[in-house]
Amino acid sequence: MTRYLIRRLGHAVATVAAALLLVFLAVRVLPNNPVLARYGQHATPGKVAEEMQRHGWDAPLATQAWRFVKGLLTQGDLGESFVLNPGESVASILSRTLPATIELTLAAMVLAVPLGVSAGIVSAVWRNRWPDLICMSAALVGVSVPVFFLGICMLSIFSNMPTGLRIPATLDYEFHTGFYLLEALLRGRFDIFAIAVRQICLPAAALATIPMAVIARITRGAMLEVLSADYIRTARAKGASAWRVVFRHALPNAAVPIVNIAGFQLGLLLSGAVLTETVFSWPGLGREMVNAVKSSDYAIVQGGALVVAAVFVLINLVLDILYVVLDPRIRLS
Amino acid sequence: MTAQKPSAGGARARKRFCRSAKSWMGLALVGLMLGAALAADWVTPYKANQTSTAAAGEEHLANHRRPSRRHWLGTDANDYDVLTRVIYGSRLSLLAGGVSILLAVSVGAPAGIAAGYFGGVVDAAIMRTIDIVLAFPSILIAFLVLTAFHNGWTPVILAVGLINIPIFARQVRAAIMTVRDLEYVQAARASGASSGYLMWRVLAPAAVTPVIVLATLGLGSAVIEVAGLSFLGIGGNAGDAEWGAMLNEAKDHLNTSLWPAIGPGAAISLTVLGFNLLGDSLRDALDIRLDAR
Repeated sequence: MTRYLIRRLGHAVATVAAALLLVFLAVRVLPNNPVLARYGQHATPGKVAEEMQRHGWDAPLATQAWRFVKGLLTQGDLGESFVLNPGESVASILSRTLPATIELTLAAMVLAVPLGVSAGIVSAVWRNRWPDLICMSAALVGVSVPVFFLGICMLSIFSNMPTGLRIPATLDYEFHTGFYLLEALLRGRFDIFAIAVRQICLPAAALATIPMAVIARITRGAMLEVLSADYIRTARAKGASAWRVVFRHALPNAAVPIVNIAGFQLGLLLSGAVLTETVFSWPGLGREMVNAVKSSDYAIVQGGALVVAAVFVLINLVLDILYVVLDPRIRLS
Repeated sequence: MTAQKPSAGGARARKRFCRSAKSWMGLALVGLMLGAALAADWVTPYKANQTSTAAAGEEHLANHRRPSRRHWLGTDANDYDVLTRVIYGSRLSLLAGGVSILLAVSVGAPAGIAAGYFGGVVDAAIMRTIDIVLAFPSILIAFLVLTAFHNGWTPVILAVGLINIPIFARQVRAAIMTVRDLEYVQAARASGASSGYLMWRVLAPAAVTPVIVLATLGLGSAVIEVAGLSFLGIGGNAGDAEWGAMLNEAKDHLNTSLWPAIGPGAAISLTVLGFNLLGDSLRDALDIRLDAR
């Protein structure tokens, strides 16, 4: 187990390192020039050269890469925004926007997992009957409707619901972290918590549709496979109630693929959130990155991409470990 | 994955496919969209960039007309007929989705075949590269590609193609691995077939069925991805009659009218639903197990 962990960890670190290199190069070889992006037609050759030198962008690629990695590892320095919020460090932008994205993603998963798993179980138990038909048709529609269209419809239908993340000034409350829901709950400010919940409802529901549908389909498949196993027939023959058979005998044995897909979807949500955040004006990392791409603010794109890739790799790492813990039969090869 | 050559059981697969209601619904939806794309010039009453005011010869400029007999899906903020633009939009959306999947197959499949055939270092090199690409959520890769280029559809197609390459490479590699050590391959090898012949004539056919299924499902997601990028306004051209761009524009006028969003949104959903239904029933008919990831 320890050897497996070490190797898997090494693999994850190597992947992040390679991702870092890839992002760095991708951002550097671009034909777009950040100085031109910021100053537009006011850019004179002298000014461009001066700015390039000030940021060290005129140095050879290898030197730039070395400086970037050194800054990142020694000071957590990801550079600073150049066009969107000139002067603000990317680290500060990330700490401002990432919590909102994480809360949104987790809220979506809180909706998606129980609903998706229940729908999958219902489908498997009543296979090929109307509950199955309804759940699976809904799941198919769920993966087919793009989240941005769904979001637009929700916004239009529930036009009285608040969008974005705003706490009314009258409440006189200053947040210390970006995790609004969590902070309000921990500090016992249930009035603030209620407002935050109300605001996260719509975007979380929109974001939850695809993972919910995918989880439902996978759960159904996994449950069907388990329900046809010999030990389920034995359990039934012993006289175990239908309820007990499904929840005590079948579900735990179908858990591996379900946990696997749920975790994988969690990673995907980070990117799904880009669209949802844009539709609902959610002040998260995704929306920030879209704006950064639009205005060629490379430092933000680079920092954001790195952080998201690192989170993605981390989730996959945790999943692989969970996989082994949940199912001892899986060889640690 | 079936270990037999794809021709075996073909008749049974066809029967299974024809018997399922899903496949017919999928075919109908995909057919409808393809038909709209091909016949756009004949079936639309207006032009994509013609205001209905101009079309009717009226003097007062109006916009956001509600659906009526003249405008089945209403008109948008520019007073363009929404249905006309949705029909014309099917061209760009289907073409962009199709070309990007073609790109993904033509890069991913050879990579998968090479990885599965050669194994060892080649396999490790290809699969590790793919692992790195998969370490990014797909939209980030699209961002990196799109930051590099100015607007237009080519970068969007490139980006969507790129993010779909790993899917095909992985699945093709898996298909090759299952047949690599079977007797018919060993026989071909023993009779002195060259590497090229082994890869393309002996092994590749085993990967055809999974690629067909994946490409069908992939077309659906490619259509969403293309529309998503142009919806975000970081790819494509804002004024074009394309579903994502239309939704992007409709988003800014939600307070006035939802109608301009309904047409393109429904078109994307139905197209994707069609490809999903078709892909699902192909997968069931051909009895292929796909990697859930």
